[in-house]
Amino acid sequence: MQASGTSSNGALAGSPATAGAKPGPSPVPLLLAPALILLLGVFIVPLLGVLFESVGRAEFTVGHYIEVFDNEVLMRVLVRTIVLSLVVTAICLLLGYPIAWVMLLSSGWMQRFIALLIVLPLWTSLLVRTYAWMVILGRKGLVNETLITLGAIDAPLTLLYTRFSVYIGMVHIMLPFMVLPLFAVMRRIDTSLLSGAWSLGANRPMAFFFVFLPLSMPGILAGSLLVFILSIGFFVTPALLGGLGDTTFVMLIERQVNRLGNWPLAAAMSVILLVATLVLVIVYNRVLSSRVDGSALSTAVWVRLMSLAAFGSFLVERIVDTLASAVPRTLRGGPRQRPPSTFPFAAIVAWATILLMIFPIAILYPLSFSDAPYLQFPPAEYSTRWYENYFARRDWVRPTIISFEVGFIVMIFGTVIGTAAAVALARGSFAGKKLVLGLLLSPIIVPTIISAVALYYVFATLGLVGTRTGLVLAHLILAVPFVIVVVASALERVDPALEQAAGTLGATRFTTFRKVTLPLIRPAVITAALFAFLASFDEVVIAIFLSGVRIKTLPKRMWDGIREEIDPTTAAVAALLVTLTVVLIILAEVLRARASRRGAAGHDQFVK
Amino acid sequence: MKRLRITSAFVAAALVFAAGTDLARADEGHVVVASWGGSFQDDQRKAIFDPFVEETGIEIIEATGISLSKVRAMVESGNTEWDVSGMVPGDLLVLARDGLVEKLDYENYFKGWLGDIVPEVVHPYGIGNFFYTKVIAFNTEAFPGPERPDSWQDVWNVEKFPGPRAIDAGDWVVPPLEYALLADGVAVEDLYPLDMERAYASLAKIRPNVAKFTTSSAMAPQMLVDGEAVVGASTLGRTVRRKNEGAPIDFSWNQGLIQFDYWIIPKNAPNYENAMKFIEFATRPEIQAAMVELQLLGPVNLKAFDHLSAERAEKLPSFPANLEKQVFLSADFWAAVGDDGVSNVEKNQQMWDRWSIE
Repeated sequence: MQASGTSSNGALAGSPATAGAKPGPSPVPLLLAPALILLLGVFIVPLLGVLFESVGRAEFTVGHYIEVFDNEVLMRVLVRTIVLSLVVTAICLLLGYPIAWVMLLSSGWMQRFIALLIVLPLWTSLLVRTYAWMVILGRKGLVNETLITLGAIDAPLTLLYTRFSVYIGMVHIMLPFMVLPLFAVMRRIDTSLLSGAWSLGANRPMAFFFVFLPLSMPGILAGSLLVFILSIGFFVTPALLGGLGDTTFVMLIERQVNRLGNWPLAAAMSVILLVATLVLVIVYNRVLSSRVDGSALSTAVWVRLMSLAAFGSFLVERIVDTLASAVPRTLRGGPRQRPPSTFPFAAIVAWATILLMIFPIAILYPLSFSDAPYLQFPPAEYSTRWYENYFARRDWVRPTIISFEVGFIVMIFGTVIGTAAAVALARGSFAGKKLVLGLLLSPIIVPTIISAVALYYVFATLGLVGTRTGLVLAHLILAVPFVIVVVASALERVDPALEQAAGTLGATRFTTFRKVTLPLIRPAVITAALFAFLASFDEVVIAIFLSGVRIKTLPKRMWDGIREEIDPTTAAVAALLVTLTVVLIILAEVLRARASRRGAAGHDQFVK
Repeated sequence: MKRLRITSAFVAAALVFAAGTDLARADEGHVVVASWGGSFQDDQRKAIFDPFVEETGIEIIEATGISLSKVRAMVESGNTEWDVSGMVPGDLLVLARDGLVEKLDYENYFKGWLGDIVPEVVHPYGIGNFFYTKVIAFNTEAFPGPERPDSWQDVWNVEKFPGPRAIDAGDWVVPPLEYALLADGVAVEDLYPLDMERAYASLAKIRPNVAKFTTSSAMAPQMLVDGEAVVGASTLGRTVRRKNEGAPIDFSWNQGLIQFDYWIIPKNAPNYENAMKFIEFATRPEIQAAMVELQLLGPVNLKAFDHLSAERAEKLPSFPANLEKQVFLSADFWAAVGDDGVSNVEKNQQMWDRWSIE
């Protein structure tokens, strides 16, 4: 799948050569080499391996494809998966639009506060969020207990392990990917058009539907596409929250590999899923993007990364800045006029949804201090027994240590490799830049389970399954794109004239980078490192495939724990993970603030 | 400049770390043991694993998630990670037929005392671990009495005993077909050979009331205690353990499905010798007795009773008075191969796959 830059990433998408003043061999190949070698070895070659496996290694055959298409079970599950993803996309749009709208209408700090509430769940482990819903929706969970206490129902409702719980869990995880592109597009809309429509006699709904809604279409398209692509390859939440009838296509792929060992069939299924996704995306793109500015696909690819990485850190940066009142607000873009009125219903929907997004994470804390040997909310008595159990059990502690080790190595290598590639992409000028960028970012869009299957296949023959090396390599593939995007967007804001000046004064390229560029982008590099760490530390799908009995990450241990025994130790671990994430973010912010202050002397003038 | 040096040091450290950590496991003084997870494995740790480590110095690495297909996938992909695994008899017979397990070296490791083991559980490719039983278990808050679920027909009767069920998934170790047939009115003496079509038809009747088809032994007791299910199939040992902890759970001996599991060694297990040492250790009478003190299981080593009080012995599933209320699972039926060369284990897997997504 190829991604290409859009207008929003000007520096990456074929900007003029700006730093080429200095003679000498171009450093571009050297800077790009590590990222490209990694991509080739740990992503492209394994995917090609899956392709070859699916058509027969020794002799060409389409037999495995015929087997899939002839299998009524597989086909029905594929259709069901597509329908499920469409429904999730629709719900996300219906709930996400009001949120983006309310964000748009809010003033400064409120807007950033909502943004933080939207982005915070993105930073907490996927497993933790899914687990929280298991607690809330259970028969003795919060919803049922509340309804019974209120006298609304007599017997608990069956909410968990149903299609309903799958929708809730998936929407919870996908919603930010809808809200952020919607908001990103909306804030570029000139809202004075709305006032204009009113003054010309249109009523409010009319003005909204005929003026604002069409203008926000690129956001709707990008958000929907993004949510759909992510949903179709989504594994963890349906597997944990669904019942027998909610099996998705990727769950069947996992089964073929991990339980049945039927490689050729799993390979054919992976290729079919990938192609089905691609075809849908291209059709969608063709049909709809002609009506709007820019291609939905490239916007979606870009936004996926922006929302996870750059956008998130940008918001927190602003929030922390505001709290500290240290740095003046520098909102990019021109001054924006707020629309003078709102729809109260939209505000209610938006706030209710936002609260629902935060609530499951908050509930983990009281739950983890429960004294009961089973999940109970609110807990009758409190104790620290589950925390003690966690720290006393080597089958929990050992995976924790391994997760830190793997995350740390991924952070170091990912930051170095990604930063080098970002410099080459932002400052170098060479043919095929868009293609290179698209390739480097593609691991983020391909369903992780397909990458995982591909890697498992290659790593099994190399003896890398169940090793730290294997996990590090696989996680690097996911971490490097984040680093590239975060660092490249920071480089975009650094005036190349500064680097040229250093060059004119006789500094080598490396010295210039070290003395001029790096200090300016240091905050972004720190953020990138944090994301690289979290990308590895929270990752579960690859860990399910590549963990061994000795080398197993914490998310994989949690996965086993949730599947096999739903004891409250998992709640304690989940609460610790959320705390760790928050601490890491604060730490990164402190480091970043310090780095910004250090460079404050001339920093602000130099940053466009 | 200082910062750069720190960064380089970090990178160097990371490189050394990455290169070094995988080499660190060069000593082969370990054995990977896959078992059934949850409180059962917690008790194994106390009664078997820790004493083994203490006596031999061989490190035990625990794994969970046992299944026939997992072992098959592991061996066929050339990536055998487990040295020892539990395995239900039907699955062992299929594994042995397909050459996916190692022969046990009884001559060198069970010198002179193999005769203490119940002969029915000694197989060239596996030796019995324990007799255990799957009983009808229920939440006592949902059914405080005097009417309590006492047969599989009761479990299927949602009017008499309303609420969600916990039933084993058909692609997990012991498919729920025996229960389904007993629930459908098949008499115990007519149970085998199982009418698999009829069993699935019976399962379809209870399906809307099954909260979750369980895929581990730990799940059912957990669901029953959590209230996620009110009645279902649960292993006796784990159920009684929760009951003794004060959880609202109880069981019925009637129509319990008694069976046993093997210790097996997957083909090409990396630490065969340690695996044999472990299996020999786990089958010793005092070790079996220690485990039985913690979980209600039937020892396969008859000498274990020398280490048990009469009081404890009569609570065990293999005690005669308990035994007569239960049904003995037929491993031979599950391993039997039809005219098409497909065993009932595999036939069931296909039937379950189709049935489960309907």
